[in-house]
Amino acid sequence: MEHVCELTGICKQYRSRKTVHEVLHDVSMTLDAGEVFGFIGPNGAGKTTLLRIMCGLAHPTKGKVKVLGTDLTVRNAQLPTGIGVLVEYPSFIPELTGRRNLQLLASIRGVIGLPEVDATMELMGLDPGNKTPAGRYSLGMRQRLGLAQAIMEKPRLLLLDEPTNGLDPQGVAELRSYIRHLADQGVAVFLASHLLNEVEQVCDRVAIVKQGHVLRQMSKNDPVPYRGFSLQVSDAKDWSLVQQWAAQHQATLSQKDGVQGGMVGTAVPVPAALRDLIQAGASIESITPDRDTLETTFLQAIQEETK
Amino acid sequence: MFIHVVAQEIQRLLSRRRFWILAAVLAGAFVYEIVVVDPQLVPPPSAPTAFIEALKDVLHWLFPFITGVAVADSFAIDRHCSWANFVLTRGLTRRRYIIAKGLGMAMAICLLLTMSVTAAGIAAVCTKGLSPTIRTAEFGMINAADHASFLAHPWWFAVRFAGVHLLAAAAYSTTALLLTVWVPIPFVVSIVPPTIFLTATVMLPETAWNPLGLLRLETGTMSGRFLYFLVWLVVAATVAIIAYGKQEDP
Repeated sequence: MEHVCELTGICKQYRSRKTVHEVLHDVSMTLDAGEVFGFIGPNGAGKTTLLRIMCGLAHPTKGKVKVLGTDLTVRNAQLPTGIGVLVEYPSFIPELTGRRNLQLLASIRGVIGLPEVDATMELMGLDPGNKTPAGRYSLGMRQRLGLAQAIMEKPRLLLLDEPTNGLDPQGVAELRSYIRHLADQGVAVFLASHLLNEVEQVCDRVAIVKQGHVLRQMSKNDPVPYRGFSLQVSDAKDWSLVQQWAAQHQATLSQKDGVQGGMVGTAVPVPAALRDLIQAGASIESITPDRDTLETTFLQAIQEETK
Repeated sequence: MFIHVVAQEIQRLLSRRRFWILAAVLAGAFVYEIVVVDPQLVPPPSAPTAFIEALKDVLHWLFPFITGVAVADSFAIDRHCSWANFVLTRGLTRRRYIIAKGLGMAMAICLLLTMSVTAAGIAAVCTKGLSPTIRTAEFGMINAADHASFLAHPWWFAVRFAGVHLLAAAAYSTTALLLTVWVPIPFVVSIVPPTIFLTATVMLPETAWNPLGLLRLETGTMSGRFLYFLVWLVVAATVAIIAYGKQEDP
């Protein structure tokens, strides 16, 4: 099966008279239909540059970019239709309404009409009848309008750069579920962001990038090392029950200062441990598996790279 | 797709309030020249001659600034909003985008000029009548080679004269567009070309190569000026398209 997007050995350098600044170094990745790929890294890591290369706005110094079957590194390559792009901080013709802006953009390809434009605006929580010029939109409204222009023509590949910029918590949650909905319909989504929580919740695969180097690529299907769990109980009597359980199962125990709880290092899965403790009569306030999160993996990868 | 982008560029400029302010300023200058200044001349010129005279007196110093501001404004939109990205990611190549942009911009500026020139024509007709009698004294304002044409159809001659200036505006705006390829600050673009233009009118002798000489009617024939502007337009547009096409980010 052909990938929706295939990047091979992408390098991007900006040259000035005396210096060469490498923004991307040997980046390779693939993106398939129905997949959400997260590209995360600190500011200046090269996320936006890679996204611009993927949609033909910039050209790589070295490497090959194949998008929807078209090699974009070939001279005068025509960008295929079926790509929706949101580059960070979208802004529109300030004097025209949001609807008029979208209508003008829709007329370029001519594949959708005004009803589809209105439907997309409503989907993004915007009122098509709003006569306010786009220049007076709030940051969140501009972002919603930017998202609307990216998705209104039903793209097969959606490239999003920091899509939750300026959105309120409800907007973030709605966008997250909509991205998953698009992926379920077979759309390939590339999401560049520095918000780890956002990426972790929605992405199937993730690449961690720093200063143009991809440090690690992970899939949500990768096995995650299990180290035990953290828990909190009601009182000292319960904690002593936990201590007894830990001794029986050769588990390590480290209590947090001032609370009846702490970390339990064990290979026993959480459901089994929970069942044992409840049967022993312990009142459990909370229990959380101790696994690597995207945040811990990210910080670890960045620290390793720094060393 | 290409035609849509040309139309969008025109709409973009027309949506700007400052565009209409420029049109009003230019029309006001024409009308002022015809209504207020010309009656003081003895003998007062006929309507077509007054119209041509107003164009000669006003355009050479005002339209470089107007086109400069319009071109700079057009690029300011690109720099301050993501429109170019939106268009380019819809499949238009950068080269075709800039051709469309240049065309749309030149057409918008010509539209601005047409509105202003029409206002001047109406003012001339209202103040001096539609069917004027041409006096011999007025021939001093017209190139000798064009006298016969002027005498036969004075208004048609005046319209062609305005047409040449529309072409001049298109050529001028394309040159300003070319400058924006190298000068990334729109404000500079609105100041540098008119300054070059006005410096040239002062420094150069009044031959066919002097921009002021070209816009006057006393030197050169109408068709000669037309060809000159046509060549200027084609050369400037070609260089702009090539240079802009090489840039990565609009």
